[in-house]
Amino acid sequence: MIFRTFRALFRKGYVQKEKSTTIQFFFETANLSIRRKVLEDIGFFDTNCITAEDMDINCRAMEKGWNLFYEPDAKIYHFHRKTFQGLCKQWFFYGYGQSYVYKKFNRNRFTLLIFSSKRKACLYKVLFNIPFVFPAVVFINPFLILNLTALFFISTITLSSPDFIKTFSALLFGGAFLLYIKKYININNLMQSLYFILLRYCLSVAFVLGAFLGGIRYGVLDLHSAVDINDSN
Amino acid sequence: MGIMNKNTGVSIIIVTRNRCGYLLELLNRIDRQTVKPSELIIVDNASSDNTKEVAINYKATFKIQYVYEAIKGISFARNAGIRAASQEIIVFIDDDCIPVDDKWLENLVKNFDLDPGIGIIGGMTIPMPKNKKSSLEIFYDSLITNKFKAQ
Repeated sequence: MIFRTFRALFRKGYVQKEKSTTIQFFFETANLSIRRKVLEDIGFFDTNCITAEDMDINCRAMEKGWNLFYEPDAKIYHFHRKTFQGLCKQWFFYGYGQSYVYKKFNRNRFTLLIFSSKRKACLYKVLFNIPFVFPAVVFINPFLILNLTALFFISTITLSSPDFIKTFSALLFGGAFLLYIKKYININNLMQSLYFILLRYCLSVAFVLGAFLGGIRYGVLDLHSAVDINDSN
Repeated sequence: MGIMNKNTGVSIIIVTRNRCGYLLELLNRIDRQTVKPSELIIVDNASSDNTKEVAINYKATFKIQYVYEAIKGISFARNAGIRAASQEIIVFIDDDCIPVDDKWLENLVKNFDLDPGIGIIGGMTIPMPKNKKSSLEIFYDSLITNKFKAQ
């Protein structure tokens, strides 16, 4: 679901097919046109999808060899979610619905993806994609590292570990924190960027929670942080 | 549907629920497009507001079809729209969106002529501009446009 935000990075033309559907760029149904022939070929929308039905239909079309084409001159405006709760709910269900699509396309494979700022289109590259006992999709990114180091830090201080381990975990956590905020901090407007980082963090929590709970519901391990941007341009 | 006919026109499908205000604005914008759809299908996904009245009473330069889908769910509603559509090209636009200019539809569908292998064409989605925005809205913009701009 992150991919919808990277539209600005694309030029008019064909969409490249990725090795894994997990990082496949797709068009959202807010602004999409499709040939009837494609629907007759691949079937209609999957009614099991709560959200991410657009991701599903794009991926199915691609699997059957249809091309996707991007036209930046066909522009639409989208109205905002007006409240913080509304945004959180929206991202929670993005995550929840997406886990079903991952399960559907990933079958019994373990896909590990790592954050890569060099990848313009999708931000992640596939580290490995191997057969596994259950389907799993894990994205390694600053958000995941921040939370893992935070957990480690909290457990060392509550479990009365030796001092050097406490210091080590604190340093790790500090490093992860800096890594997380580095991308988004804006010295010229410190207060606003801090506020945005906090909002971004909350939305990521909503998304990850949705993805994880959806994963339990549909039988896939889905560890994903969504609210990332590529600010290389 | 599909009986040796050459319905090479465009069917627009709008799935909506309880947003008749937005819907009216969207219909106005579509009515101004340089290329007109052959038909427009409004799928009412179990609305409790005036959606039906807006859809039925709207006077457009193209045919409007009102479809009611009682099962709540975006995929059910979209499929109901597809079943009602008769044309070769099907366009989806959400009820909380409006075209930026009058060439949206023309630009979106023209590329199908380039290559019969093109199955899906997508356009660009931009946050709605406003003169005065709340911090939350500026943040939302930064998510969609992929640009972080402090104001």
